[in-house]
Amino acid sequence: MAETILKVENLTKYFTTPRGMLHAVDGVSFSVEKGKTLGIVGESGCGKSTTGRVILKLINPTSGKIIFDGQDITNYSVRQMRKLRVQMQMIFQDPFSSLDPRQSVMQLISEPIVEHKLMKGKDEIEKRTLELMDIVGLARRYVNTYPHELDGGRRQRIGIARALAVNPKLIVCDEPVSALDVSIQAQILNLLKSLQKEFGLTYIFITHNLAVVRYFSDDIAVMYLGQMVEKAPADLIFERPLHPYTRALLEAVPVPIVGKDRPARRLIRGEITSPVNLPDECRFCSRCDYTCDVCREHDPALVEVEPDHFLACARIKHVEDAAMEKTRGEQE
Amino acid sequence: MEAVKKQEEQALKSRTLLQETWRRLLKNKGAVVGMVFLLCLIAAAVLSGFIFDYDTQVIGQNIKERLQWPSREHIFGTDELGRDIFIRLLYGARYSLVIGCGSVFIGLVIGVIFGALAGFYGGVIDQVVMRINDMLYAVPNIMIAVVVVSLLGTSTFNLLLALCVTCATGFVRITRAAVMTIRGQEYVESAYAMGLPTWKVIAKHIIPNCLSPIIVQVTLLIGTTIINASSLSFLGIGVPSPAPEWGAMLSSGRSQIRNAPYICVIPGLAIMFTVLALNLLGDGLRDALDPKLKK
Amino acid sequence: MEEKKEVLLDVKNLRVEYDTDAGVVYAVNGISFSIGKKKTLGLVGETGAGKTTTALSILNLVPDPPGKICEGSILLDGQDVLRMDVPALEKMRGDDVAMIFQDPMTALNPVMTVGSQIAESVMLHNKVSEEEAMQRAKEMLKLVGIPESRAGDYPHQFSGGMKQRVVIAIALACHPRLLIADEPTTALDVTIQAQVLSLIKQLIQDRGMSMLLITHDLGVVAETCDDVAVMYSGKIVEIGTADDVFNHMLHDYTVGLFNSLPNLRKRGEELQPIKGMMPNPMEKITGCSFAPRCPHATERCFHEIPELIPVSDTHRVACHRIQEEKQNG
Repeated sequence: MAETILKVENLTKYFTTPRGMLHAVDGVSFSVEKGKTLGIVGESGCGKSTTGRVILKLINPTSGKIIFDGQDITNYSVRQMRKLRVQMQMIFQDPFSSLDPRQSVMQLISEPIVEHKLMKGKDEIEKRTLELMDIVGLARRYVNTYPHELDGGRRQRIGIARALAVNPKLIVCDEPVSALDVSIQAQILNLLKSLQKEFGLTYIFITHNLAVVRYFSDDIAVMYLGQMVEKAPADLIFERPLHPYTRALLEAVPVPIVGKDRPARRLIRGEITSPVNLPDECRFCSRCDYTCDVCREHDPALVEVEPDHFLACARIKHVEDAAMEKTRGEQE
Repeated sequence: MEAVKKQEEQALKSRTLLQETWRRLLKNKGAVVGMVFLLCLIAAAVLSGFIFDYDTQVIGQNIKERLQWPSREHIFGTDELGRDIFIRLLYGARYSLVIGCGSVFIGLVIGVIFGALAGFYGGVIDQVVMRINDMLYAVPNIMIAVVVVSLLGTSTFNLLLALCVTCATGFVRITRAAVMTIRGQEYVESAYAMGLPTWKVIAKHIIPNCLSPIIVQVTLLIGTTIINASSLSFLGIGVPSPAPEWGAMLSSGRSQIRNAPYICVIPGLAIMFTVLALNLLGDGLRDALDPKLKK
Repeated sequence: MEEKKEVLLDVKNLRVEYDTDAGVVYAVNGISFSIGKKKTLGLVGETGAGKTTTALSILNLVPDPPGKICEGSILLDGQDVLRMDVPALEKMRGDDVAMIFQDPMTALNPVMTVGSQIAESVMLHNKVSEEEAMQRAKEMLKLVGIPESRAGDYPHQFSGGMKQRVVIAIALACHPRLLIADEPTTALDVTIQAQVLSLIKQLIQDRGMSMLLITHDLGVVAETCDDVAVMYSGKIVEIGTADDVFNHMLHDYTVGLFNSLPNLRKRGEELQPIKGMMPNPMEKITGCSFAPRCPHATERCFHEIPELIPVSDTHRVACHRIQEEKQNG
């Protein structure tokens, strides 16, 4: 049985703003098994990036519990966390701003090795740096170049090498490919996947790109306005999406298919509401087609509706019925 | 195909950012002219101490030769006490440079420390530092200098102290703004995620990336400070006479301005060209360091 | 002759270079395409392929210096944009051709209300009073799905999707015949992207306009375009109807692009990315620019630049291999 490497319970992060309390992350719970990938999907402002940063304690949570590898790290001091950084790492979205422009590739990749005193002696560190460059597929001839001379794909490989340098168990990937071109994106995704196999890494993969997340994740959690609205194994969520928001999200993706196979598309109305001073109601209710009084009474909790399939929707019965009717209508 | 392969194998050597900046700086004609002028000035300041005898040639009076117009013996003429203006001018470069660089350096250290603290931590520290800074900024800098000098007495060192206050306020603002921008960059967060302690993040990643605007400010401020120092000497509260400070030289020529205007004009031009050179260099540096122009 | 009547924009052998500090960047290397009336052409390619430069050329807006349009002609309804004088150009921009940029955050003036920004563009091209222009502005807002009452609001009071709607309203206010949309939805979230795309599509149809849509997203192209041109390092490598390019793709780069896409419907299969990187645009290429990354490249590909050759009435490809195969039957 696979062991759980990360468990997050009822995680919340509020920011105080001049307009009121901003609910960036609001009561998120999940756990990730070793060697697996959890994909967190959502649109901008849904709190997915904040979640990733709170897990690594780059931001302190307002409340909740983070259990990493059996230890409760919620109240770890900065000093304790520094020691733990060798086990949990992060890959950033923007390969252009996440590398210090004044450091060479060698300095960038060796920085974590030097910092955590993983190796001694200049030769050994250099050898390990070159080794890491091989692992991430960055030609050794770039060792003395500077990030501004390299393109996005190569920069992102540096970012990955930096994360790998300390042999972490968990890597939070925050939109690691969204700044890259399609052909380069595929290279990086393949790389991340093969690294996972090779080193038994666990990923938390944060993205807004549904196609990428399906390709990449074992489990997928969909977030909306700081909350998890649906969580299930990847195939299940794509084949049987239950939450109206998940459905809308799936249907909104422009599919690169022309001709008769092209799926029909439905739009959802409205835009994401402000995450400041939220009332106690379903957060999606202003955009949802199935909203009724129940939705406005209180915020639905995430419950297991079938094995491994978690959902936060009070109107699930109606949604399902409506979907059934729709498919029946289409068949007729 | 082969050419491609050959290129693949060859290890790449790149210029560091510093080399890159230097290359761009050399392309800027104004900056190069400024730099050459300043190098000559520094050489003059250093060498004049060895070549000329201070007591006889620089401050020694020679009434017989007073008020001579520029000629072959005295290429910039002599002043009302018969001293060679050319020699005094070269020697005086020391005062301008020492006061300019010295007070900017002290101001730099103080300003960068407080600016970095304010920018990095924000909140109360920021408020306190910035309000004190605003207060100092609001008082005319000559006034601060006058107060400091009249409290401590006239001497080169006191003048230096008086002027560094003005420099520091400028550096506090610039450093704070730069640090606040850099602090939000992803590579700073990446450094934290890597496990670096705060002081290392500041020293290794934040300060080095703030240097561009600070370096530019340094060159521009040295110019301003030289003018301020000369102004104070002109008013008689700067470098005490008979030292050949340019401002003091200019001031002493006032009484002879009708029959020997060169006594005033030449130190004035010296000040002007030095400040111009510094500004040219500063502008050149600004362009060379500006990442937006990077290709 | 009949076919010619239908063409609104005809770009021929366009070549644009940027003369920079570090050397000459060959941004667009001789491309030709045309857009028919009431048609939408999608220009697909990755960063640095020269898509945006192409778009700017059509408006004769390539920043000069460092940019220079070295060669070619751009005929808009028979008139060459590159040889127009300044007043004619100014009239053409906005009146005949309008452009939507990628970033709605920077495309709007932050100190003007959105209503007056639309009205301004109306007044620039039509002799109408201020009230009339404002009335038109409000109509435009309604058209793009923003309540009239918000005409007095400033851009910062709008969300990203709303701002892009305002930008569309400005672009369409003068009834241009051609809309150039440069990555119009890239900065937006998926659900908002869907809304904006369908809005653009519907407006274009209602007004019988043509559109040049520039994007890197094949999905967006499939959604909106009649014709597709695939660009790679300053050249069009494949052009045809959407059906040609999506269902009968021939060029190895196009194939590679599709293989790189993670499929929304399938999971876990290894992606087949195109190996290598884009060539350096500062090097003058003597062969096929895709050859170093191409799985089928032969010696010929490195020495001879392939021309676009027709494989059907609508479909053209620039590839030696395809050409040879076609010749050999």
